Amino acid sequence: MSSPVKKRKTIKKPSLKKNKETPPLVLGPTPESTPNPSLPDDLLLSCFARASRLYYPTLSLVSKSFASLFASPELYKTRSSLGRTESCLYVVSILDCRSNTWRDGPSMLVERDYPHANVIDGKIYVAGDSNSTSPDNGLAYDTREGRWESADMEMDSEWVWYSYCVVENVIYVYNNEEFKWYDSTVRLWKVLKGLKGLPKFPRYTARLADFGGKMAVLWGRGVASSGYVDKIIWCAVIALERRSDQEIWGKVEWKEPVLKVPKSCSIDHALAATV
Amino acid sequence: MSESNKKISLISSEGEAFEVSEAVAREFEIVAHMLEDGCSGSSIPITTVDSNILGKVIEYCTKHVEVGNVEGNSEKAEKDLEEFDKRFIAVEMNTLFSLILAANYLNVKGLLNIGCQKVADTIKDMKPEEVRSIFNIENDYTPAEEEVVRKENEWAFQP
Repeated sequence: MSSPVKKRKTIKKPSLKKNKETPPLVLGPTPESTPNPSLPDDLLLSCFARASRLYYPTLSLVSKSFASLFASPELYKTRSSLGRTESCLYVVSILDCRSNTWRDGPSMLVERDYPHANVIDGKIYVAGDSNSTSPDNGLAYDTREGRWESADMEMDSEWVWYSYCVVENVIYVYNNEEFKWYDSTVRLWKVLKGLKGLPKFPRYTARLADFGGKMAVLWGRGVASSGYVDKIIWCAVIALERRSDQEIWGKVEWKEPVLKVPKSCSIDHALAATV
Repeated sequence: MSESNKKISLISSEGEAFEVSEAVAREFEIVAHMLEDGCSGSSIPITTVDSNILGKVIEYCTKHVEVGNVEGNSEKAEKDLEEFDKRFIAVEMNTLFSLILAANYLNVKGLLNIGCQKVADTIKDMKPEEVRSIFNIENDYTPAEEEVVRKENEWAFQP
């Protein structure tokens, strides 16, 4: 019983010869050897959108037309309209923004070397070495007011310029083998409590990122068996729970090696994107 | 126990008539629109869907209308419906694809949703060869091209 279905050009029917060589179907060997009806691209996208992106690379190997569907913006629109977006972690090495156009904002009050910036509650905080003699506290650019102001000095004191991230308007740092967060109401850095199961790693190798309300931590570690020629990038995800106004607890949900790289590679920055 | 006991005949591609209540027919959004547009005929041809598939789509819609009409105990009803959906969609690929095409054409959103989900769940753990045979696709990659795709996504192919 073949249903009258439009065949799409994008999906080719197999030649009969080819069909004979294919192993029996895993699912439902059809009693009659009628091929399955073809689904048009929009329905394929609707199916693909319901699977996790983790499977996309393997499924891209099916054919070029599949690969182009998995790479298409329509797929991500479909995922979004179905509410099937997932948070994914991206590790970005170099971003060259020179080809884009930028509009200049007002100049900072103090020049910064190696500046690092963060957004907390609508303000862009910038810290880093200043080469002037003025007090070395951070600056905050108020996006609503469109001007710079001096930032909270206490906050600036522990904010190391690489191992930090902001999760739900709270800034976290990794420093001296401890995770800390800044309690802006009492102006104090506090230790993230309850954290167990993480190895010790130097702060300069660690990068933190907001991972959909959790904290992702990435760090590199040389592989002894390769004579330290290779480096493994590790990733851990820490769930954050505010137990009272004064306490935040962290729980390591998982940690795993995620990537092998030559030792000359280092993690520059980590960002999570929802796609 | 539907409020309207008006009957409508849906005619399959083979010309077979399926008599259903208006409430069930309205689950087909395409039919609902026809009725709203003043199409008052009591038989509606569904020319692109064969009897086998049309029968199944009607079974699905009838169940969903029945459950929707039951008052109270909604949690149990919802569970039953979930069970029903699971059993209903556990069909051969051939039938599954036809159901999806029919649900898309007739605009039965719930059925389209569980159909597409079933396809996603089925193919996600399959090898590319298996997916090809399901979708009747030829491998149009040369070995060299395939290698490039594998290289690009090396992280995903580790055991």
